[in-house]
Amino acid sequence: MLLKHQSFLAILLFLFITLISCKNTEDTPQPAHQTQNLSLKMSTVIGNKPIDFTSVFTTEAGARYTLSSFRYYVSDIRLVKQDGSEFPITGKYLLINPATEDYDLGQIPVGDYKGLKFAVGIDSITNHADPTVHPATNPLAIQSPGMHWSWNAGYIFLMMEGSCDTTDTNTDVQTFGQFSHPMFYHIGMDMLYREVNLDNISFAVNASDKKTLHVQANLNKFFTGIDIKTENASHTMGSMPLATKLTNNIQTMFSVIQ
Amino acid sequence: MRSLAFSYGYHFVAVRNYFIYYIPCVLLLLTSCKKDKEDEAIEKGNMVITLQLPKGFLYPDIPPDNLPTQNRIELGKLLFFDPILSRDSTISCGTCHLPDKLFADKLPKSIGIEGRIGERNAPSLLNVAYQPSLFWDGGNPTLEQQVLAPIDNHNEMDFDVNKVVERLKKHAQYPLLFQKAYNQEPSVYALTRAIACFERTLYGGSSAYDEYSDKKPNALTPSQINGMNLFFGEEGECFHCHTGFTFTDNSFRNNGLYQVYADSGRARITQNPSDIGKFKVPSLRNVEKTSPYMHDGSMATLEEVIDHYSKGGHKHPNKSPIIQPLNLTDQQKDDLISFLKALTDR
Repeated sequence: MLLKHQSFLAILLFLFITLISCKNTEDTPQPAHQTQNLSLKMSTVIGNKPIDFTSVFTTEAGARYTLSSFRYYVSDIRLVKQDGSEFPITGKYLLINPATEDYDLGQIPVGDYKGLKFAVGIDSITNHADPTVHPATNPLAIQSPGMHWSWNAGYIFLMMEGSCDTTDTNTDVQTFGQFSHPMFYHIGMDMLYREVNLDNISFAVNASDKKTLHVQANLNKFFTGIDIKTENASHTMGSMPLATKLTNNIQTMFSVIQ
Repeated sequence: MRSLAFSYGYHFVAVRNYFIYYIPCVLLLLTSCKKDKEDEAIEKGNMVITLQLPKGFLYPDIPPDNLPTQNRIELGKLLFFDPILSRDSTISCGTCHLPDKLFADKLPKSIGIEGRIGERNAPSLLNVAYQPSLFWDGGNPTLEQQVLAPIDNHNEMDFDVNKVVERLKKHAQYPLLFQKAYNQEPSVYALTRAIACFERTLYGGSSAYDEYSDKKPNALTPSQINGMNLFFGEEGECFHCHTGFTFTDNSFRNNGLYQVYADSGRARITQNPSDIGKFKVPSLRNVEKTSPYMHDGSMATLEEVIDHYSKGGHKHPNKSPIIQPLNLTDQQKDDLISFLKALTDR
């Protein structure tokens, strides 16, 4: 053990000397504009109740359901400046999970903004790239439980799982918190990649304070026009009409809380 | 006092060893480090090797990050036959791709954990290196990524690849083997690469037909030659799809197997109705020994298959225009089957 420590230290010293000798001596240029850290707070509600995985919820059409999982990918995030130009947050893929509300977006230019755009899903190139090349900490790595289809290689953009009461009389009895009928929506495929455009908002990013932008998803909107007593399962493939309806609803479920 | 004396001794040892290990590090900077025997063995096992291919086969495209080495192939082979990949540790890749059955399983549909029956017929893995996409519907683009699918398929291994990796990390042998082969601890990346690397060593191309093609006219019987002429001629038209040294053009075609398809095939991937009932054209190498046939293993014998094509199959809007009644005579059918048997590896 002792010997190993000593050799390790020696190697570290050696590497350190090597690195120092290679250090770039050029001065780092000063940034042209001031920047500030921005984070995105992503909350999920059902009407005015925050999401949880134990309650019974009711759609606006009056159907009861429970949730056991709700996750989705957000990408291609862009901030719209007052002059209409966009500041893209490139290379950022967020896997939104109700257990985590805050997502760091990095440094953005100080200034006044009037809009937020993002996609729910993964761009087609990344969608069909090899997911195994990402380190386990990357949201694009293979997740547990999975957010990637291996039999039709591509990501599941949005996954919702739970159970629903399919009785006409709303009298189904829960077992271990679950209704008798499973409910699952696994939404993906390039053609269901959708942009969310939140305009008519206004926020300032100051040099002095770290900024948090709060985006809320309301699942009542996710179920608009959906009868979960019958429309309660979609793997996307094989049920494109339902998957498309849900995807179009996804576009409407977000709002910025100011 | 005793403890102080001990600590002095400790310090002395530390200083001495510090210098002992510093010297080789300096040498490493100036010259090249002299390696011990184990390092040399690892080095040899990590030399990129040239795959041994049957005569006339093109060298396959191999991803630059997964060039074949002895260490990688051996690790991949171990993993391929190890049921550690499945949830209840009962099913390996080799359960459905058996070496003594040409890396297929002779079942209509393969059986996964707890006796679950899969959706489609397991194809032979021989010459899989040439497949531009994997599965009957082409739903997966690379041999590497393909490894993920049987692991998480409910009817196959029904497991989670991240949990496989956890098992491998705790295993007595695998961590060292991964280190040697991919210079990292067990990971989803290295696991998928190792199995793919092994699969790229599986070839079949030593049949009577190959000998015949290699200028040995006596390798085929007269009946096989008649069958070959039918196969490659406009009468049989088999060669339009079963072409090249792998005997497939890897296209997706509806061969009129059904009027209504329980399995929509390629359409499941594309969601395009014009792809319903289309499946990837399979290789015909070793076809004699890889029954049953079709994506669902619904035909038990080559006779049934030839009868199907002779009649021209069922009507279907997506049926390939090449599939037309051939009205073969019994002699022609026998000759064709004789030829197909000449594609069996010796």
